[in-house]
Amino acid sequence: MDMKKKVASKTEVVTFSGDLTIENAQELQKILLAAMDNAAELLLTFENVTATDLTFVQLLCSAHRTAVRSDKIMKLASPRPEVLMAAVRETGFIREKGCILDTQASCIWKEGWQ
Amino acid sequence: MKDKNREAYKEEAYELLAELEESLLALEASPEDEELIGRVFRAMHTIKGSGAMFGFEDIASFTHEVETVFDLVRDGQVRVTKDLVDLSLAARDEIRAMLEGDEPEDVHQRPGIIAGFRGLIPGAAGEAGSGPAPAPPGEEDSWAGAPATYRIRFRPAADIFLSGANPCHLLNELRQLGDFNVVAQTEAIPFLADINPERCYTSWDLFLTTSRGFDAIADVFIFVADDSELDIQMIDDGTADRGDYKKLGEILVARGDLDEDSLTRLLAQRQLIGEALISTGLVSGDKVESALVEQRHVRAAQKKRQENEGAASIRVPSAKLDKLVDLVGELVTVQARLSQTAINFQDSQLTAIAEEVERLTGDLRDNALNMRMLPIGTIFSKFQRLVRDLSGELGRQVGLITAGAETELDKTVLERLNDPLVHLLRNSLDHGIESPEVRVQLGKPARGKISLTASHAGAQVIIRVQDDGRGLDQEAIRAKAVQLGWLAPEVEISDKELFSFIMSPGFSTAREVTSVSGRGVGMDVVKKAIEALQGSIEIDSQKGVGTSITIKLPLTLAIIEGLLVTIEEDYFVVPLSVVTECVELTREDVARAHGHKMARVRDEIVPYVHLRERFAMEGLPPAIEQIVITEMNGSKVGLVVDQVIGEQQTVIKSLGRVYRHVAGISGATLLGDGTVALILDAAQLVQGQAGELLN
Repeated sequence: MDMKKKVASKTEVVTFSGDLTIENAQELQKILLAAMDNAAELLLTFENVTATDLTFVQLLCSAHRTAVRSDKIMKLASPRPEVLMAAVRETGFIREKGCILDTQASCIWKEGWQ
Repeated sequence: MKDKNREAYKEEAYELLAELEESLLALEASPEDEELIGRVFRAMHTIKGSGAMFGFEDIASFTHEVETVFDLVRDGQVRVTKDLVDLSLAARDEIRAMLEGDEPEDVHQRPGIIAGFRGLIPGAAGEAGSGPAPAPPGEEDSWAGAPATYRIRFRPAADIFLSGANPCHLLNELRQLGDFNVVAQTEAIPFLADINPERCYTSWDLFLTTSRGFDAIADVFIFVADDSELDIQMIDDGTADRGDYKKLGEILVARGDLDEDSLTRLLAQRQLIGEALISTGLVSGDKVESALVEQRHVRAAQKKRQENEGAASIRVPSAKLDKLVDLVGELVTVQARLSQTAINFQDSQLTAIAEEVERLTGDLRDNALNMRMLPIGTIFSKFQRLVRDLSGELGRQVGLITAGAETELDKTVLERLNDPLVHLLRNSLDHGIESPEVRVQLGKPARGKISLTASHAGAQVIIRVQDDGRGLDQEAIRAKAVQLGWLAPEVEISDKELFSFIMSPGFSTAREVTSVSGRGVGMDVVKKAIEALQGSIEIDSQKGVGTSITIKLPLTLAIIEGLLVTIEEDYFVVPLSVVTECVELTREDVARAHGHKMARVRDEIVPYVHLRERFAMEGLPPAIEQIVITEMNGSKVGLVVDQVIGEQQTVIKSLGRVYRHVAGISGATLLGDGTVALILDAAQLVQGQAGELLN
């Protein structure tokens, strides 16, 4: 797993690549936490993602909740890797409406997964 | 509407009962066949479920007893035995009586049957061991068969990843079972600082429409079930035909995610329920999302089912089909007139239209007749039961083999074929198949065999009843025929002709009357019934080896192919099915026969009936007449007419009451120009002249 960080004005861009799976879950958590600390706006992008699983999907959901609670913005860039698209679809995370915490209507599971 | 539904239920139940009987009889032969056990269970389940729905509570509660036992049979807790099959068949008859609204003669049989079934349940009085108590009606949800929809709530253990199991694999396994929808419940996912990313915080609401049943679903979770929370509920049993599954609030109440009072209060606020639920925090967004998916999933499943059912078949009262065939018959007649008129006018445009109408009418006729076709298997299944019961009564061991059940025949023909076939089977059982002891002595298998087969041959259906019994005794038949004066002792006749004697009224070689035969219905009645269907019957038999009875029937009785002939100015139609050829009859031929009504056709002497004389018609015959040679029961007989016009598609009209019993005429038809032509009943005409012909 590789990770690049780049600060573009207020937006911190985090690019994920390689295996985004349980084997790297703790490291991925740390990366997201660090990025969240550094910026008001977080953009997650993906390059050459080879595998992913439920643990990463849970992490994304958790990160978004954390961002909303801290009045920060977290977005996922497109295009998204097919392995991630499939994992989100198969695990039933796609939503029509966000959860009760989604006060800004920015739920990451609403669009771009079909 | 209610009556209409009850009628629809009854119709369906009759079909299910027929299927049930068939399955039970097959089950007796293959008691381990799980597919058959499943079929019996499903039939009972549907009869019960729909019965309760349409107000047949007595049927529902009675059938429940049978269904309970078959549920245990499916689980391997009760074995299929002859007693169970006997009891189930008795229950089937009882249900039928209840459907018909008949109070059976021995109404006390019902408690006996119920007690019999209860006695089969392990742990019931008189049975050793203990088994699970049967579920009361409506509680069980585990039957496989028609696709049902399940809601599965699955919360895996938080450390599921550490055990090596992957919940995504489980979801994918379920996906293989049918139509599947999944909604993740994410409420428990902590914030980033608190989450242990190697633990599972997600739970799922899963919606699956499958025909694989409860067990197949539970099997998917077999290795994780102990550490997980798992709840599988059937939310649509696959029988409801409405496409309006519960409302959102009702779903949440049914799941226990919302209480009814809260729902009532929310509804009173006249807000969109989904929005109101989330904004008030009464139910989480995940749960509302899940309820919406459930609603959509079940409605889609119901719609799909409706579409499938709609596309597969539609129930139409048979009277409407009869009316349609009548109208098509009228149309065929009018079309013939149109064609005739077009010929007379010699107008090419009119001829082209007439030809087009002729083609379309032909297609319409074929389609209309086809709609009334039913597979002969619908009556075959009844015979399995008949043979089973009768062989028990007579102490025979007999297996009935049927083939060609898919062969289709006109509904009317099929209905009228039942009695003759029952009689033939009874004969085979009573007079044909020997007792097991005798069979063993003769070197035959103790278990006799009767085969009932049907097949198509052109525009005819051939039905054969064949047994491997003792066969007909030629000598006895011959002796009886001589004794009755029907046959001169010195005359040699073919076996076919000899056997045809047993189909004459008043002929019986049976030495004793049993409860099976001797009911006042003989082979002559069978023959009459078959001939009334424009069919023929033929017997072939070998002493000690067996008997084969072949029935040939037209596919339909509404429209037949006929041969149009004339005598003087009058038209007649001979059914083409009995016609073999036409030959000329000259005055010289008549003179050579020295007063006998016989013609020589290619070195064969063929007796004939002179129809002009038979119908006492005035006028002189032409110098060259025509003999229409018919063949029935292996014998050729000619019908002498003035002229043969040609083949004619004949829409049969029955004769009025006054003329209905005129011998030799079976109906009438209208020709293209509106002229009436009488349809000749060749069999009756020949029979009427039998004495004369024999001389």
